[in-house]
Amino acid sequence: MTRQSLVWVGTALLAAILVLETTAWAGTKVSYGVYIDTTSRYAQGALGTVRNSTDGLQEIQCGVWAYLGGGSYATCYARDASGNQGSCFTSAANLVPMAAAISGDSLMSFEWDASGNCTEIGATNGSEHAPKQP
Amino acid sequence: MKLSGWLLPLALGAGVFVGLAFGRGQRSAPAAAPPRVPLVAAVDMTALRRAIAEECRPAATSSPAAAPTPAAPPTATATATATAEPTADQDAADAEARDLVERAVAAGHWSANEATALRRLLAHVTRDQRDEVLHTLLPEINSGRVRVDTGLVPPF
Repeated sequence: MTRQSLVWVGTALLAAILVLETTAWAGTKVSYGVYIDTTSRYAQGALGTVRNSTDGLQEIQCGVWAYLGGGSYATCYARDASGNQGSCFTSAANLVPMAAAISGDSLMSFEWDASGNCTEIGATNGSEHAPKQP
Repeated sequence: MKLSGWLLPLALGAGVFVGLAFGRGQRSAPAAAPPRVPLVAAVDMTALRRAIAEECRPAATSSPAAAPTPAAPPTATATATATAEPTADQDAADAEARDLVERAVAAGHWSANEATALRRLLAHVTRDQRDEVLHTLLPEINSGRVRVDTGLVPPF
């Protein structure tokens, strides 16, 4: 094998490595816009995806409120691209911290009963969730 | 030079092929991959909802304090708050909060001003009074009879 041939083979190997590296860097990306099931009273959405949506309607959030006199509660609200709404509140000691645990890029969900009580608040922080854009 | 004329595309082609094949092999690891929720636009939404609920639930129930609310014994503070008679100031704030919510329900609209006012009033009512006010407002929102339009202000 000539010196020139070795150069070409080396170039080919470098190209192969670049392709391999590019492929390995590609992580899973999943988008979760606001989804609301008003029948089963369930709402979910990834905060980054919702923030980055372009319809101007989608919204999902939870808030936690505490008062100096004692007591705290959490409220959650979601609206999908069709204008469906879901909301709940809770003072349950195991649910209020969950509302506070939701981070800026979380996939969050909540469920509620007929009276508007939260029956579940969930938060998943995963690499596949989109970050918020400005 | 003639040799390099055909060797270059052959070598590059082989290199790219090997790279793609090896890269595909790295991506496919189904045994180690966690359950994957498919893209929203491409799947049945009911299945997606259940999958996400399962993904979220362990985080909500993994701690010992995650027992169902009805089974949890009330704390001394909660019991005292629930059984204490409301003061005159609390009753006044409660009346104002109820009036605020009733007007919003009648109008079918929940604005930023109302949300801000309610949050301030809820700081001055008892837990039972707060629960009753929110039990009036939230089902109306969930049914679609009251539209939330609070803009930059949190709705509650």
